[in-house]
Parts: sequence; structure tokens; C-alpha cells
Amino acid sequence: MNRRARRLASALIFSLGISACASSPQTRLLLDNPPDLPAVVELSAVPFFPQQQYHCGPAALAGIINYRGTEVVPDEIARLVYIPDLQGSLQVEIAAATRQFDLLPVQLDGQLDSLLQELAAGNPIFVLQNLAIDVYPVWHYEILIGYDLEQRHMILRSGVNRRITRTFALFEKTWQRAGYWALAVVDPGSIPATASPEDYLAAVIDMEQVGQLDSARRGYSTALRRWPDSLLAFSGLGNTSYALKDYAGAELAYRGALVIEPGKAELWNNLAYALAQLGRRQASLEAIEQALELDPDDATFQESWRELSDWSY
Amino acid sequence: MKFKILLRSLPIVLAVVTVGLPAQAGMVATDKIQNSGVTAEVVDVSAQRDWIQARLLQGGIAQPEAIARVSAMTDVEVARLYQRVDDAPAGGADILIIGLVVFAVLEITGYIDVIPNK
Repeated sequence: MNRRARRLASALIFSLGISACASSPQTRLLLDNPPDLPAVVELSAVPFFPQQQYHCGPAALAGIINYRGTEVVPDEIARLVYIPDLQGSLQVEIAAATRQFDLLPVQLDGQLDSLLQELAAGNPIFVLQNLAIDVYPVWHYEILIGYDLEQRHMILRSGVNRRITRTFALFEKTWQRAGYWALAVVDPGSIPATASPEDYLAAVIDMEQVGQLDSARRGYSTALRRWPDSLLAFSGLGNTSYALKDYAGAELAYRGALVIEPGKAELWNNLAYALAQLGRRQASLEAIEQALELDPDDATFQESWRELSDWSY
Repeated sequence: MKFKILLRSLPIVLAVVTVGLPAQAGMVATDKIQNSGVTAEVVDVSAQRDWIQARLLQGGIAQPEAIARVSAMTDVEVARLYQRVDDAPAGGADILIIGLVVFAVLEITGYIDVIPNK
């Protein structure tokens, strides 16, 4: 029995456990305190790809990736995200797929008014919705392309529909049942309007982790322009520069980080390697000795010291 | 010998090109710098990756794609998915048999939105 039939059976057996979430608190707040944004926004330039059966993820993601400048069709995305026996796509794989197009999947904060701010800033949003009920969910990915504060609705590209509207109140419910999950998908040269440094940098770190170093380095640089005191952004810039063999850039970034946090032994450790690569033996050994002074028992730094002492210049 | 480099080992079949990563034994990766002072839980990430890869194969995906797709996930994403693939939302939006009456009531009262407004 496929999983949907199983779910249906549970739903019928246990009767409708309609959750108590009949209200839309964020919508109420929004309408009581309208944000200082344009009354109507519609990103009509977002391309539309009608979905094939079960392929709402690939269709929606194709729309956003094309909007960001890379031509791709849903079938290409499906190969990265679709799981036949689940008849759908997982959120993790959606995020992984966007990275493969050198785009950052930045998690948003779950606030309705943030979505409006993103739209007003020109960012279409990839959203998950549960269009049915908690015990029998109908999961659906859509692109949020606009809103209308007077009509009180969202505007979406959805499934086989180029353009649908959904009231703020209903959108909030279907979104709440999907854990308020939404992604702003941006080039690493940009930051979504409402992204926190933590959420932005989390996406950049992910990019680095899967080996997309150029994009990650750009993301760290972008983060530093906005958040010049970010230890994490400096550290990431150092590591990605190093991995890209830009050792001078790595040194600068590590030193930038150390201005903020001179007691961070890991940074002295990594700086020591960059200095070795730059042929500066004395400085390299001083740096690793600094790391060891801060943390004498750390096995990594001890190994580093051995490796750097034997470094061939 | 502990490797604290940016990446763990990757299979050859990869959608993403990774170039010239130095296998510097002693360097500390960005996420470890972020979490320094926090004792990392010892997790067998490669076993988790193998599990997910097997699950994808079972789910109807060809092996080269399954390998590539698992490689495209971060360690944290792998941990999140490990053993939870069948419970996670899988956006597909196929409208199957919901009791007709139930469906009609929910749709008309605006509690659900399976039939959209254009």
C-alpha cells in the first residue's frame, strides 16, 4: 500500500483530528499594522513551468533558477530531487539542488511580513505548503511571486496554474502546517532582505561543505560587506581562499578574524598554514606557536606544528 | 592521523566539480571554527550517507544519481534525513482520494486549498 493510502486509512480510522489552528494570527497582525511596503507587488517576470504529475518541486525550482539567470527545465531538476516511490521531492534535496546552480538557499524566518518584504525587494520565494490537514497532508511546493495588501492575498505560481491567489489567512494556515518553511534563493553576491546573518552564513557554509568554493567565497565576501564584524564570515573567507590557493587572501581574512577574536586558536592554526604556503617560515611557526599557547593540549595544533616544522620551503 | 579538512571523501561520480582541495592535515574547517568549544557528537556520517543512498536506490533512483545526490548533501542534512526519509514532507501534490464530503466541506469553508482560485 503506498504511503498516501496508508495515511488516508489512518485519517479515516482516527477520524478527522482537525487541529485547533483555525486562526491566522500573523495575518491579523499584518492587517492591523500594515507594513510600509507597496500595496501590490507581482514579480511577473518569474517564468512559469507547468508541473508534471508529482513534479511540483522541479517545476517551481526551475522557475526560480531561470529567474536567477540559468536556463534549466524541470526534468533536469527532477533528476536531482524527485523520488519516485515517495511521489515527491524532499526539502533537503531542494536545497542541495539550488546549490548546484551556484545559488544560495537561504532559510527565512517564518514570518508572513518577511515574505512581503522579500517580494517587495524583488525576491520570489520557494515555499512548502500543506494544502490539506495535518493527519492527511498534501505537500506542495510553489513559488510565491507577489501579494496584494488591499485584496489581502498572496500571488503564486502553483502546479499547472500560472497564477493563483490565496488569501493571507489561508496561506498562513497552509504554510503553518508546513512548518513555515520558505527559501529565498539568491546569487552569492546578494543577501535576501530579511535574512539573519546566521541563516545566510549557514547557507554559505553548506556551499563550502559540498565543495562549491567559488560560490562560498563570494558568499562570505558578501556577508562581510553587510556584517563587517562577522568572525564566521572572515573564517570562511580564509578557508575558502586557502582551498582556492589564494594564500594572500587567506592570510588577510584570517588576520581580519583575529582582530575580532585574537584568542581563537583555530585561526592562528590556519593562518600558520597560509603563511607557510606564502614561504614565510618564521611567521608561520610563530602563528602555530600562538595557537599552542592558547590551547597546548590540542592534538590538531600539535600535529600542525610538526607538519609546519618539516615544511619544505 | 586526524583529517580536519573541508571535505570528506567524495565519490568520483559527482555533479559538482571540486578542484584542488589541499589535504592539509592540520587545518580547521569553517564549521568547526564556528562550533569550537562544543564537543561534537561522534556520528558515523559515511554510514548515514550509505543508508540514504540505499534508500534512494530503493525509491527508484539509478545508482549514479543516488551517489551524486547524497554527495550534494551536507553532513547536517544527511543527519537530518537519516532514517527519516519516509516521515519527511515530499512535495508532490497529488490529490488522491479524500472522502468527498469531507473534502467538499473543508474546501468550501476555506480550511484547505486543494482547488485554487485563479
